[in-house]
Amino acid sequence: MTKKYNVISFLIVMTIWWIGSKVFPPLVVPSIGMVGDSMIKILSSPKLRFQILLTLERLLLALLIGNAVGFIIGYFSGINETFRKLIKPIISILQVTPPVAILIIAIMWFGFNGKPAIAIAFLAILPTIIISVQEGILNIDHKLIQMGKTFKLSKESILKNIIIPSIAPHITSGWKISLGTACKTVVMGEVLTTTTGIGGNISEARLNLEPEGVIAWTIITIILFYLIDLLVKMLLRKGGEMDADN
Amino acid sequence: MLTIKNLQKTFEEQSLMAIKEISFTVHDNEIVMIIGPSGCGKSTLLNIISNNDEDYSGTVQFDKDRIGYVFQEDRLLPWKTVEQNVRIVNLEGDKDNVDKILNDVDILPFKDYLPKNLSGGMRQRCSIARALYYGSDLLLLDEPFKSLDHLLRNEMLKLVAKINRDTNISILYVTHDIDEALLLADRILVLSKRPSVIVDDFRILENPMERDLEDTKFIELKKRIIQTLEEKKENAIYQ
Repeated sequence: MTKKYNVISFLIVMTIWWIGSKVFPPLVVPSIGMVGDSMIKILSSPKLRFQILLTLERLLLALLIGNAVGFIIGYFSGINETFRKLIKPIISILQVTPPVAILIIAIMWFGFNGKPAIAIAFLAILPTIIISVQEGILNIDHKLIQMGKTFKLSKESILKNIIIPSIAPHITSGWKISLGTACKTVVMGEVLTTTTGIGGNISEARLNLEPEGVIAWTIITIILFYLIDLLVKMLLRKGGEMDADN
Repeated sequence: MLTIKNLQKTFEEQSLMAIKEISFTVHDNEIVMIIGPSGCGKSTLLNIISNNDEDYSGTVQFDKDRIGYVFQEDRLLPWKTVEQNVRIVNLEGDKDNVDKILNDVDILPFKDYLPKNLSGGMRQRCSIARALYYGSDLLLLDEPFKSLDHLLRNEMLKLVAKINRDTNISILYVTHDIDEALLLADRILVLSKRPSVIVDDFRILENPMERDLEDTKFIELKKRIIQTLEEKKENAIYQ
């Protein structure tokens, strides 16, 4: 059923795009064919494919560091009320700080080399990860843990069978939001700080007045988002199946 | 055999004495039911016996190994099936035995169901199955059938009686329902209001669940319990 709606939604977007390309000149709304050609050009060129990998590397680095740091801070703010109170205003500040402001500071620190893109993506996803882990821990049903202790479950078993499944839904939704945020901010960071990666190439396409190139690189970013999300979902499902077998 | 001697429990933070000097024993294969008003410390007592609360004075000795617990709420893991919920407490146990136990408590056809798809009675059957698969020598039950209707509750009480008859498991069951106690118990302990002490203690010799509560003997016993509770607690909540 969801697939049906996805297809309908996709067709609506394509129709609007097609009508737009008939009404407006190609410099404003390039045709679907032009964008398709541009995508083929990108994907068939090893040099351009490497640019995708560069963005992917930055994206994964930001996600890895953001999730690791966010998980640790979220865990401690979940189990310690004082720490939670201390961290709350910092999270609020991070949530409202414009990424561009952070980007400018990051340029001063790291230079024009793509690292600021990692830095802003990391800082953009950090609050989401912290809050989702913290809320997950706060929402653990302690009566279930007491049940585990009563039946003398090992600490490892309580962690695997009670604590992790309790916080997993919060982490999964936090992950989905942070992945989208990271994709957007990494590319934005690249646009403003480097000539490499997807963002760097979007910037170049803009300078060359190639809107079809901008759209093609954007579509590649969106595909990248869905591929990472799918990969993580598959890994989680596999992990779940392995648990069920035990 | 479970032996409780001079058990005393105070909640230091609230300076509240919940249990004041309780002593009793539960013999092998015996059903002991503790009856008392709500809030008299019955659940606290079970938490102490099950090692979930170690902050008390007095002694609690159990000469066997495993104490199973059927909680007031089922406390099943919502993300695990009935079978997985049962297996989790004894991963080294014989897997085939799970089916036998689920069959005994009459939920075998539902073994692949998640708890959310079961009725309240079925969830409590699963909770009992879990305690049985754990290999309990002593089964603690904390008003487990409180939220069930009268007919279903009777069915569940029959199940507990059957478990006690077919196995060697001792049962310590707390309730505030006098009829439940009169139907099932080999021995009834009546607790006073907080700080609780045992104010009455008597045995019933007839077979559990084969008793006629309309019989004069049981009517008298019920009156006696109500009278004791009224003497010891003005605002006792009981049935």
